[in-house]
Amino acid sequence: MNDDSLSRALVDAIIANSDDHDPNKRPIHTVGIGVEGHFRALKAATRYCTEEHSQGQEVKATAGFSNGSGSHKENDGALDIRGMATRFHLQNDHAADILAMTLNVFFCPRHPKLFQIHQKGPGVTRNRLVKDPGFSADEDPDPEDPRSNVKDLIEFANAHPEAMAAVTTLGTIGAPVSYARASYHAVNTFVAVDPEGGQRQVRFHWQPLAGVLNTKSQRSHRQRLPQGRTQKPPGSLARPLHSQHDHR
Amino acid sequence: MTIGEDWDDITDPIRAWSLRRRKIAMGTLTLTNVAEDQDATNHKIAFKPCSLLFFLWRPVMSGKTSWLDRFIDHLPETAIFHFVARRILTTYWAWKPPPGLALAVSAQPSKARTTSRT
Repeated sequence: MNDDSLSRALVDAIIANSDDHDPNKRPIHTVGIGVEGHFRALKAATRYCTEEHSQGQEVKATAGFSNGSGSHKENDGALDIRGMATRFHLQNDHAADILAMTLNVFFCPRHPKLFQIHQKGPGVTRNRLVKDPGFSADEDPDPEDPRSNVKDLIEFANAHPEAMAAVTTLGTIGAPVSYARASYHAVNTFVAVDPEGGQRQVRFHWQPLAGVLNTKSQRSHRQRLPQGRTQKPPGSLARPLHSQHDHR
Repeated sequence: MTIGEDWDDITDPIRAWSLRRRKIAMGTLTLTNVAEDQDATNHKIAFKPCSLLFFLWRPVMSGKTSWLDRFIDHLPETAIFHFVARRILTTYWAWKPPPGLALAVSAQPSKARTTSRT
């Protein structure tokens, strides 16, 4: 199987694992919001990197925040991984990208392995791992609750030891109150070249200057929730982005 | 930005680096507004290797959905594209890899790609 057909098979497997894939939308990271802004590097950055967006001038940037799921019906406040794709718009139509997510590690090292994970039968699909219909971030996962995915998480981690770190983090990741109140990690390694030609292997992270803030669990503030309310209304994570936010 | 040590694995995204690694604050990203045209914005930040392959990346980068964008989007579905990719390009690149791209297959962008784009 060559690279192209493997990629296609991977996308097909992801779609097959999805309960409500919309062919007009992307198969993963379907729900989200695009925002515009600018990036300004600190003076210290010039000592580590010679790239245009590290020289201190204001660079136009576009960011796409998303929930990791392929469900277009998912409430953006659901328990899920969040993604942050950032593009720095440089001179002469050049661009630089950083792809980051709220997990600090990925599920597998190579993409044939990712294909095997998505080929796994019903019950331990990725969608089953990251969310349950009707199970919101405002509720504490209870292993005895029939809607809980804790048993699936354990089963999945036992079947895929290399994914254990990611799955363990996923089980406790919760949901931020806003896309701009989460920390994001780029699991890819970049090579930064300094002005003397020295090379360093680096990984990037985004930290919100306002601080990381997750939604409270229902158990911890059950008394304060309105009667019958089980989760935040759709769009609650995107709404705070209408005011200005900073990430470093 | 976290700076890795020589013994940190740079090819394996399932391994987190030690929290003791040196970190440098590189800059601040200020989000000023929600994009008015969400589809165009998503289109603008999408990485489309097909567009780069045919040196037609400018319309895609500008975020416009012209006939050219639609043509490029449709290309991977065509039989001629599959024939060229599988029978010609893959064979040629297996014999003579493009400079800097002879790395193992990865689910994430490779070192070569990220290096060239930043």
